[in-house]
Amino acid sequence: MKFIFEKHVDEINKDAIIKTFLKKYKSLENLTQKVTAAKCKQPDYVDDYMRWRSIENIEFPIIEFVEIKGYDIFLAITPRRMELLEYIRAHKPDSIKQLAQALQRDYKNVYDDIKALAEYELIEILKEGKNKRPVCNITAISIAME
Amino acid sequence: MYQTDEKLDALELYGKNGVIFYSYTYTFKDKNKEWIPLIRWDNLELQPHADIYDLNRNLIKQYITSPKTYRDVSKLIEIFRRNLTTMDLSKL
Repeated sequence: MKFIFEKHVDEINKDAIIKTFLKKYKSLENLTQKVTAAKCKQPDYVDDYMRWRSIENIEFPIIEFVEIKGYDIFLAITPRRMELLEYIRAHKPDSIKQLAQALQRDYKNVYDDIKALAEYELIEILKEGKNKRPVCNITAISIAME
Repeated sequence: MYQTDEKLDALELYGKNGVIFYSYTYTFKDKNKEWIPLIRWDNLELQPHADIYDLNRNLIKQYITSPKTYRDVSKLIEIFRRNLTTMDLSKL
């Protein structure tokens, strides 16, 4: 059994993603140097570098698929967490704190749910100053039998 | 039943004429719940190739390959799974 989801980066997330890259790598030039030096030894650098370059000119789409085989993921996708995922996608909260307030739920419980979903890349947590902003770029989720 | 989760991360960047960059990374989750890359197909610097990594994330082998799509790689993983690390990926 495979759990497959598709993600599209859109304009709304563009600035937040660039901010995350800036925090992580300081500048695109720095990251370019890292990629030039390490190339295939650091595949994460390569993907971030290509995303960053592409995101600067988002005329064309950035599409990501994540395909997960195994059953552990079903422990992460409880009905409440799926509801959370849909809420984040629809309302685009600025922070986990704001999300917890909007849902009238305890911050720690919401944070734990976000963390569980982030483990499987269903949600990205973007750090913006003191805030942690949950972002959901998922456009489709499917389950396939092999 | 699988003992660990396995994951294929696919990134596709598009230009005027379709996909200009792709990377397809086959990973598995270790006991510490970290995703460890095993094999990665990409076309960095317009050179389609595959990289094989050890359990410490060190690059141990590279193969020149034909250009791949998400479907190609998904199919290869479905058929061969971890056996891919011991196969000649230039022939697949």
